[in-house]
Amino acid sequence: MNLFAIVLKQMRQRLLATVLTVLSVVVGVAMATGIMIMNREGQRVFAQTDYGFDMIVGPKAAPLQLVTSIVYQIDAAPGTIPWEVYEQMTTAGATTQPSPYRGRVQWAVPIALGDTYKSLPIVGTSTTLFGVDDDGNRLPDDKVPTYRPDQRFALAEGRAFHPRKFEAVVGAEAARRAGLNIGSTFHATHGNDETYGAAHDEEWRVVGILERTGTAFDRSIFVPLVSFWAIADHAEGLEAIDKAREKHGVGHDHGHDPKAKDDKDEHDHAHGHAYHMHGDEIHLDLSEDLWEVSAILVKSRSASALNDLRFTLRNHPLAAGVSPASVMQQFFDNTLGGMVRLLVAISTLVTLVAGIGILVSIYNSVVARNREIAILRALGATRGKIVSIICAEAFLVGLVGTALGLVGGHLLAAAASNYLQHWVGAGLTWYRIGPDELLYAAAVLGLATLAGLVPALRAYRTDVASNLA
Amino acid sequence: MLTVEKLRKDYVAPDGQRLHVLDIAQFTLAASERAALLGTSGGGKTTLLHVLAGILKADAGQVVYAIDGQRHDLAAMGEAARDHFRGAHLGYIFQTHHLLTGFSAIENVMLGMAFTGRPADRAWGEHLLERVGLKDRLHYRPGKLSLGQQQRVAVARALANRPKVVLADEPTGSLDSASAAATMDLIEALCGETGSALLVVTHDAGIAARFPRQVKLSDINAAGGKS
Repeated sequence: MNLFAIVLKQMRQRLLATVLTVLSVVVGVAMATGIMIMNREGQRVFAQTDYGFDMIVGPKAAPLQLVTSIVYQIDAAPGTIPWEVYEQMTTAGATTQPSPYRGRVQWAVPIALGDTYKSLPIVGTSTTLFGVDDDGNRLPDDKVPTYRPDQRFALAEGRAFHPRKFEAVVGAEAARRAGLNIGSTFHATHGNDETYGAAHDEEWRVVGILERTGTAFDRSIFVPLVSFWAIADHAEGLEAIDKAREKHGVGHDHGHDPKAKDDKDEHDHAHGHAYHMHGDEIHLDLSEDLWEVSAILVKSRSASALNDLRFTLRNHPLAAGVSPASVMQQFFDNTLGGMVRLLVAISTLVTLVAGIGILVSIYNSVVARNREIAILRALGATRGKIVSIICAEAFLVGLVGTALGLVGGHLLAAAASNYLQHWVGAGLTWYRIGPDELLYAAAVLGLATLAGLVPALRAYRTDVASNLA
Repeated sequence: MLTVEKLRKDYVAPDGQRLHVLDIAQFTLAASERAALLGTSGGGKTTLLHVLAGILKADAGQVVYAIDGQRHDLAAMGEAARDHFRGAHLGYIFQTHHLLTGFSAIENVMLGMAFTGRPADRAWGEHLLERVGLKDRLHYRPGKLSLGQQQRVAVARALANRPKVVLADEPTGSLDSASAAATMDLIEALCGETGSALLVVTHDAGIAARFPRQVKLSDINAAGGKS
């Protein structure tokens, strides 16, 4: 019978106390490592610096809401900005006004949010997102949007939507979750609540499914902006926004003729809607000056171009440009950072209490085992061996507790990852063991062994002769 | 095998007074010899056995074991060395069995081999338990054994290392006369099998009468004694 067997035997002898002590370590370690993983991986997901775009242009104020709504789609968009900002940034528009942004923008993608299907966000956008122009021609490589550096949206099945049809391209996760396939049709729900929102009359048909990107875009359903604006509720909303801006004296010039609508008599008008159909193509009755988008994803040509864009947008009455990386980093540092530090402090405290638990539990057992320790000494065990046995017991409690705690922490992170995957479309690499965890685990093992030293010293001083009398 | 010379052991009483417990000019035990040491309660019997086992250190004198041509003076050794020596060469039987309650009979016997520095010999452990009549109780914990059976496990444990000397402190003190006689038979038989010398400390003249050599502690201990 070796020392290890003796240690195990004594632990089994006090099974309940041992299990409870191990449990206290498990709880502390699981909490601490869970928080560590979620903090580390959360920062990687949310405060990433490797966005494929370097600016989000949206309404002024609420930059955090802008990023969380556009990039992570976990919030409602904070408002809208005029379509003309997008037009000025690209050559796509027919504006004749000089653009302060041209030459500085490598590519820009409009984003309009507001509707959902089965709680999945419907994103109104342009075909640019898929690397083609309105006519389906491939864009030059440097004009193709990226969601991460050098990572472009790619179609796993089907094709990009037609810019003027009720067609949709679905993110990989959205397709899986909503059970959408090529040819599937669906009706959007206004707002983001399936229970209270009203389903629109318009029916979209899925024509493409995207490859997985590991971002929130995976759970998005992309539709043409024109089809998004065509919905009566949206058109009414846009008109209301326009009136409100006019009332407050901000906005853009109305160079349009309110009556300049497509030749109504020759086409099939969708009753009560802001569009009419020309064959299967949508023709908006809504004046272009009323078009609004939630945001524009922008990739600048260079760092200096980005600075110029920021400066120019600072003077814009309605739009502002924010860097998603710095907004999220700020959020993590200022808001979540403190919370994480508090949670780490709490879990460290729990771990310390667990360490004290080991000390008390083993100390009590040593006090109760004076006679047994004396017997072991009488059988030839040196004081050093007795100390080793007690410390090994504490170390084993720490080891098992730490190992199970690490597993528990990673399971907690896996649950958080699952939650994030569901809501943001991007999960955590919860299985990765970071150096911070290993350091923490080593510290817990050290603490456990240290906690064993106090009872071990008590055992060291056990008087053999008097305890065998 | 064992030579004790000019051994002194004192205790300091709680009031600070120094009590002379052992003052033995000379005592010897030959290899494979069987002897009984007779003494009254408080006469220093247990203290003497503890000193002979190295559990207590003598204040003066020599406690020398001659093993395989080597001389080992426990009185001159440090505590760890005495522990090693005890684990490797001595067997000790207590008045009460002093088994570990969480360990089975065979585990208690194997525990006697744990601190020798030699590989454990389970077959020998099982043989010993068979010899003490507990072949079918190998995996019984002490709580499931009778007092007599527990003491027999303790006897087997004391012989686990094939010790050169077995020291027994009132080994039958807690047993009825029939069990006591049977246990003594076993101790003697096993010591004969391993060639171990046996020194039994007892206050029971009947037990002492079994041995070819009987020594009265009062005859060799000049101090008053206190065990």
